[in-house]
Amino acid sequence: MRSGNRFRAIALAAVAFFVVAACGGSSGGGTTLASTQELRLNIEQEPGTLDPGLQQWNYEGVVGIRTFEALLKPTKDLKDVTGFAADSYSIDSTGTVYTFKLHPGAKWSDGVPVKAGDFVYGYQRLLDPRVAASYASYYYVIKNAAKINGMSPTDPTVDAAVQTLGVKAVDDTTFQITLESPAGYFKWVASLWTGTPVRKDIVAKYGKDSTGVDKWGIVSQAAADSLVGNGQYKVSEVVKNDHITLVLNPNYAGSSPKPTITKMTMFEIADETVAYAKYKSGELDFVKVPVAETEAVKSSAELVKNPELTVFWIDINVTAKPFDNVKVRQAFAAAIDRDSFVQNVLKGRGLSAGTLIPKGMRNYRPDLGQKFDATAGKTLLSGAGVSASSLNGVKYVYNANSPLNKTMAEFVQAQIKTNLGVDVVLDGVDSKTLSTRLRHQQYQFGGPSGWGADYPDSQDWFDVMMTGAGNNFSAYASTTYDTSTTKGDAESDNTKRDSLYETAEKTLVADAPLIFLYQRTSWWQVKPYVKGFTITPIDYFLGDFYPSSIQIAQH
Amino acid sequence: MRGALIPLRKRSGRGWTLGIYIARRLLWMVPVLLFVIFITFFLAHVAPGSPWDREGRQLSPAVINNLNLKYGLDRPIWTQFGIYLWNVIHFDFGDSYQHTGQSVNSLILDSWPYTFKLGAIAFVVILVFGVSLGVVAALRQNSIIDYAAVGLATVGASVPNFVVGIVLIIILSNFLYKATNETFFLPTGGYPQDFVHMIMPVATLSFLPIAYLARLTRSSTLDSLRQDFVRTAWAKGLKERFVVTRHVLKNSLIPVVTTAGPLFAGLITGSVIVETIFQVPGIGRAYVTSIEARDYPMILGTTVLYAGLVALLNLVVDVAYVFIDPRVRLD
Repeated sequence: MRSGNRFRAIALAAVAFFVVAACGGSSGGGTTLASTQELRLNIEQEPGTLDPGLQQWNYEGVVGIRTFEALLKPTKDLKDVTGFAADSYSIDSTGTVYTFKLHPGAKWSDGVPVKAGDFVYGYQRLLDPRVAASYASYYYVIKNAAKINGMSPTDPTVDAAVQTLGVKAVDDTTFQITLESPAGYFKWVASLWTGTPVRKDIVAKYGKDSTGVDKWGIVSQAAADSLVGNGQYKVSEVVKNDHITLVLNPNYAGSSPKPTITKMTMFEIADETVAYAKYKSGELDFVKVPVAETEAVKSSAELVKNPELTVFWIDINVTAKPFDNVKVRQAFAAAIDRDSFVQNVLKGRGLSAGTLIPKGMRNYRPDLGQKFDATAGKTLLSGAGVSASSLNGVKYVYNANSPLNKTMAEFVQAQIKTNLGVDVVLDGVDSKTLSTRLRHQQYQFGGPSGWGADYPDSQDWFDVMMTGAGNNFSAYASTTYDTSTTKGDAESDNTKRDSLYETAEKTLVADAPLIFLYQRTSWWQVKPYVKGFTITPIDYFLGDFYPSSIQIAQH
Repeated sequence: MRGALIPLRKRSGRGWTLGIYIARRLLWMVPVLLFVIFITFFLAHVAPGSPWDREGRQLSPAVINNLNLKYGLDRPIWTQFGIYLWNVIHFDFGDSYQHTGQSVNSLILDSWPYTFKLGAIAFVVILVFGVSLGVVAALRQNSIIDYAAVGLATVGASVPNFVVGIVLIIILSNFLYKATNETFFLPTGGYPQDFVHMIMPVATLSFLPIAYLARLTRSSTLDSLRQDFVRTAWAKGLKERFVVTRHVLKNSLIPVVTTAGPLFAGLITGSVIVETIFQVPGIGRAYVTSIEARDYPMILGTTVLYAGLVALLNLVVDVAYVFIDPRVRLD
């Protein structure tokens, strides 16, 4: 059934080839290319590691996805996956065995051929408890993965256990993964940038440090030699806390079209105002627009908007008074004017949200969502026999170091006062304190928290609010929700999945352990000479997944 | 000329006293540093949040458990403290949590040169400008120069350096870039540390200390100018150049030396804000990010370094006093 996939991959490659051919000759489409094809961007922070298996943050993934190729990657429209290191894949009739055909002739940056065995080692390493990979839990659907990763790192049988992971090299170009259940979403997991092949001999060559961390992926100038990847780019320069430079990998022989950009300089500028100033003086080619500059750039010709697959919400602790009463939660959810929030606080840089699933994803159902209705809010409160004055002094906890979150807290306070007549007390703390208190339910309500798609599948989203899940700060526990989500995750038929996830969304909205607020739109300023961005809503920087088409015009 | 009442000392005797004094002060640094480590260690661990806490996506319990085991955070806190102390005695400050596989020592060694270079250049700039501004203002008291210097000192002391930094960026980078038709501007970054990249960070870092030092020099110079020996020097008909350099400056610079030590320590450790604004990959920035990330080994490593430096520079100042000010005795 998946043969269609191979066709799509080939068709895409053909289209990409056509695009590149059309733009080749350095003057196609009326664009004269600059002699230096360098892209200068801001990744905000220095990656903690260059080892793709150990990475977890966006600012690490931007290096990871360019220096290593995972099996698959999302298509441009995010509706499906397409080939990356693998040209195609097939699923057996049980839905549990995935067979990947690797791109023949693919090479590592040191010229050695990429083999299926490198994927076996990469996946085993990812789930080895001694490696302590942050993204390990995403792969728990693989046979024995959860069991192996949950072992004590000092257990002498770990080595033997790792060999029982459901991964196998059938031959040098065929890699097979066996799952615990026929999970329809697994193709997306295989498209995460962390699941890459890894060279066992390279890891062994550079050895371990005193805490047992493999040294080949350390963020230092040594990485220019030690970081052997199968991606289009390789690390050429690491200047601590300033920038990382990637250049084309001369040995690349994978399936992606050859990029025009030959050098990417990734600056690590944490302060958005500083980054914006650098863009203004021409030291960066594109930049995120700081909130304070929103009005100033509204009619700018250099403005590019990208609606992200993110949803932000207010967390409610359902285990403590007054929010252990579902009516009170529903009343608060009805008392927030989300459209006004988007207009006045976000200055139009987002969409109001009433559901967990954001616009742009398969199971987006705005019709089911929470809605602003002040009268209904008041009715809910009085219907529950709760007087507004008895709720006075309810505390809203937020991160006081974030100007946006502070404005948001003040907005929520004003809305609750106006629409329900309740006085909310604001409790500002630092980010680590906030996350500790949210995790341990030491709060009444607050936030915002949010979720950004790892991949555009509902499983990635609904798992968030499962009973006992790490990001379920509400301590929400619903059997109906858990059952429909679990069934949806383990199902491979899309129609069945849709209806199961619909039940989950309905239950979540009705129980209101979260007050959904908004979906973010990122705003960028792009220099006019940067052409050909292929943008997807899960980009960390513009063109993140399809950088091959980016060009620098003569300027 | 020394008074007859002060007993003569042999040169070697004085050197011996100085040696003992320095040794004693150095020994005293050990309990001071231990105390700093103790306080920092427990404050860091008491602060809410663990290194694995985060906004947004949480790590799974199995992963957190693996990380705790890997870095020894599962052990009782006193055991952790003991192990840490033992390692510190062997000059091993542990591995950073946020920079996987990198030791605190190597991270500090990486970022230290940037901070030191910036601080050292700023120090020279501050001394030259601060002292000359102060002396000129004092010599031409109540002139335009004096009012300008006092005015600058007041502004400098009241404008925080993050404002100075941003204003400089707006004028010398963004505005200049537009004004010169996108051909010239001063780079906003502090890397690489060549002349053009250093102008704005050094200017920002020096602004307040120059103002402070100018005010200090001005008042101490005015003080010296009123002394009898200066009047005598004038009376002897010496030229202004000689009066100022031989008689006035030597005395008026004593308070400057007192502040120079802590100032230098502050410059090479405390440029946290300037390093953030100008993206200098130095130790000040590493310090801030390590606190935000609850990177315990990195927090401790940088704090111990700061404490050690401040203690050491104070010692240097005290010793320098002996040579500058004849009134100071070590015993």
